[in-house]
Amino acid sequence: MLIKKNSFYDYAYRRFRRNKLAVIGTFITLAFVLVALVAPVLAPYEPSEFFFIEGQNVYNKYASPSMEHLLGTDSLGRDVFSRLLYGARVTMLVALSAVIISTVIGTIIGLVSGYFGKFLDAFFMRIVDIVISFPVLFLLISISTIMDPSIWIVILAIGLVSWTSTARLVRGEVLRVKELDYIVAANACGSSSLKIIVKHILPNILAPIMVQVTIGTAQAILMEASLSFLGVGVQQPTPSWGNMLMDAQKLLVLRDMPWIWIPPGMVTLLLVLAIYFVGDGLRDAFDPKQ
Amino acid sequence: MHDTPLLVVENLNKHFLLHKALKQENAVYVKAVNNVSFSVKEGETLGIVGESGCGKSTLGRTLIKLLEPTSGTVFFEGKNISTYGKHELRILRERMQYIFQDPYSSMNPKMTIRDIVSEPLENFRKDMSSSEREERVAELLQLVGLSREAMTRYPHEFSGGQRQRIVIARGIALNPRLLICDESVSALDVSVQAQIINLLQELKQKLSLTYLFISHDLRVVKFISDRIMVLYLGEVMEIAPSSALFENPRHPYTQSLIGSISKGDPRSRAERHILEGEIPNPMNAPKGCPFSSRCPVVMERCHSEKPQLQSVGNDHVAACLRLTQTISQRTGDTV
Amino acid sequence: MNTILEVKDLSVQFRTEEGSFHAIEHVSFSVQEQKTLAIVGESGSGKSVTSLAIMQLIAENGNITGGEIFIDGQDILKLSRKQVQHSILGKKISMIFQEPMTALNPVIRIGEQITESILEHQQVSKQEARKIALDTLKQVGIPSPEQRMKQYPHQLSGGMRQRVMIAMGLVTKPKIMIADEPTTALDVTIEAQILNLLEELKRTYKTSILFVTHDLNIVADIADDVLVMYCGEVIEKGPVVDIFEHPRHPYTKGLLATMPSLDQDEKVLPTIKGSVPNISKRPQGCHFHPRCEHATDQCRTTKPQTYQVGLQTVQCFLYAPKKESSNA
Repeated sequence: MLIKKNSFYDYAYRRFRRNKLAVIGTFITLAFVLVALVAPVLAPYEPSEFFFIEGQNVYNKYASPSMEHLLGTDSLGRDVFSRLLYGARVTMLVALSAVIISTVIGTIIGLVSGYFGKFLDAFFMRIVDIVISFPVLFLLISISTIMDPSIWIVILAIGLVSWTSTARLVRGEVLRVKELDYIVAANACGSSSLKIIVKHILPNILAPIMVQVTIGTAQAILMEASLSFLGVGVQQPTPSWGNMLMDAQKLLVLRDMPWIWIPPGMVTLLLVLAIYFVGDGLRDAFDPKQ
Repeated sequence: MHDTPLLVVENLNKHFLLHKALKQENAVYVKAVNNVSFSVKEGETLGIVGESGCGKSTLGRTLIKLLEPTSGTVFFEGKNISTYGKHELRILRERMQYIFQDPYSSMNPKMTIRDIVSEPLENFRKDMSSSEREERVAELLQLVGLSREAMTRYPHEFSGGQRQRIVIARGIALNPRLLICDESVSALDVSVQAQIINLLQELKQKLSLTYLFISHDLRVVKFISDRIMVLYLGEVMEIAPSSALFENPRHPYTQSLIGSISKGDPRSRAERHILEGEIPNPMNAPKGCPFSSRCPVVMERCHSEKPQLQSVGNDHVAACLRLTQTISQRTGDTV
Repeated sequence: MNTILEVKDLSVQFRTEEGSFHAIEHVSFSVQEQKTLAIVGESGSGKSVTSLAIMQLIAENGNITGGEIFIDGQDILKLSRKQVQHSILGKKISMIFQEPMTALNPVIRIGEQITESILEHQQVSKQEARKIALDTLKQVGIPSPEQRMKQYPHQLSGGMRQRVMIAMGLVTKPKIMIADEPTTALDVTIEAQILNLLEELKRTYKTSILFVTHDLNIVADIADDVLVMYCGEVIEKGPVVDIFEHPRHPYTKGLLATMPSLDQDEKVLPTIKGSVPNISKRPQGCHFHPRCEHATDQCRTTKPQTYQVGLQTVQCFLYAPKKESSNA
């Protein structure tokens, strides 16, 4: 079994398995990950391949779904279904990388703030306040105009603005755990601060961090979608679910060509919902009061 | 038992700031430990008793420097440890250990018993190889009455009594001189309490330890201590050899405290003495004698004058103005 | 003399992660009018579950699987939930908890909480209810009760809060009060005050008390009869003097011996070996046999019946009549 024979995670796993929504959510999420991984095999065409109307030198724009193009084509005559599959890769890459960045930053800052307190705490918490009050959209629009827009900038931007909730959560957890006898006991037997943080505090606050990571992933997906929709996220021709929705800004598309925007919208909704179910399931599973 | 004091505490204070104020004199402090002085001889057990809010746990934590004292000096093995910096403090941790009340919360639930007990060894015996460390852990577990198999298991797999044994094993891992036991048996089941008390007694003999035994339970303290110190609202009321304290308590608070314990005999119920009133909030403790608000034999001057500890017998001190009065033949009554 | 509370063959089962377990099994006892019965036991003995079962306060994952509970002659397990809430709980029987802070509502003033519970059970006007509340607070020894009525629970000390709890339990003049470790969170001097108060109130209000505790010293001080529980079973019961002077069950003997005494100077305390088994790992036969010095093969396989010894009943083969022991 994957789970270590450590009753806390053992019980949590059992409780998680009993939660139907969480299990369904996990399967859906895993299915999406799998699809993203094998996108090149599943996709009938290259994501940026243009199609022409047969015999003419004209792009086959806004073609409705057919056997040839399962979900039709978009404003530039590209296969929507293929873009959807490749878009899953991009969206997930962005979300996961951003969450890794925000979790690392948030956890370190939360641990330091909570454990050392005093000046460091006051300092970091004011930084958190500043980051929270920062107009993210403005920042991203500025960045994307100044720098060459690339997927890495989007990742960095999402990561750098979303660590604050993790930092606050971790800080609160540290404050709670710090007062427990075993931390004081570790202090009394001469353990260094680093050792106490890494060996005693971190393993005991891992559960809420894991919950935060899942919820954070869902939020990052939504953030990527909104940024790309507004044109400051992932740039064409790289497909992402967000920038696939960009076409829906045109009233004509929105009204008459649902095959262009319903699929990316639906998969975004479905994946985010699935991840939230997983997150809720984890939270309930880790909560010993349940 | 030797006569050299292992620990000497002089005028120790630990005040907690409650409300900050612009002017220093307007700030509100809680005097959790107030001018406490005592000494512990090598190889003896000093019991510290008192009700909640008397500062006994704060005192213990201040002594081992988990809390920084506000003022006062502490001599340990002849050295003034109150001025110790971070580095020297680490060395002190080797010589002085602390056993907590709650065996459930004083171990990291995510660590195995091996890791828990070997943590102090990792910190201080860096030259030990991991197999030597493992041997030492096994030896320690055996010393506290547990088998070697316990090493690979987690705290939640053990009962309260067994957990407290593990905590004790960790406490004695570095061969400390002084063990501060803070309510170390209070959270245990009655039938297990006696086992742990016996274990502590046995270890004291084997390892020539000195104990500071903090508890609210007078029965346990009487059983385990050579001398007892009674605290009330952060101040010392009386210090005496165990038998003298119970046979001839001199301070009215000690008398009330002993009187209020049940005899544990259904035939002698009426003898339980009731001390009226409650412990005042430490924030507005009485001006003079801290006990003056509840004392059954309180005098006018007790409300304004703070009694000093004075000798009332062999190795027996108490802080009560009534005692001063009898000694100076009622001359001070009108002061 | 009337029996106020009678519990017959009560069993409570809990469902946990590891399966279903009986927290208490076949518990029977009765409390007479104006008497105090103390249930004494260690953690996991089922003493609290017993009192909660009587109050119908068992957690969601537990349920009463058998037995009868008679309060003032009525089997409350046969009544509907509504009937029990309306005519039994708070009226004929009330409960005092270990930690009054969690049992009192932190955002409602003391006075309101007490008058509220009076109005719920008695047909009186608001003024009258206030007066009853005031009188009861006075009676439980709360100084300047008019002021206290206006305060919130957190403004009172632990001892005062416990007095308020007792007052709330008393306003409806119940036939019996259940006190679950009411002094465990209190200091020795306050504990003595509260025990004294309970004793006094028992006389003025003519109530019975079911006192749940782990502390044998308290039992010695307040009980008329004692029920010793171990691992969810009653292993011995009898009048307090008999239990203290002639404990029969090896466990009761052990418990009494492990108390450090104030008069004697022992060097080593007598102990009971081992520890209380977890609810999921209760041994076969007599639950106490792994810790018992007198354990025989019979104890390891068969559960002993209860035997009468004088005024006490004991669940231990040591007291089985000799001739019957073969077919036990």
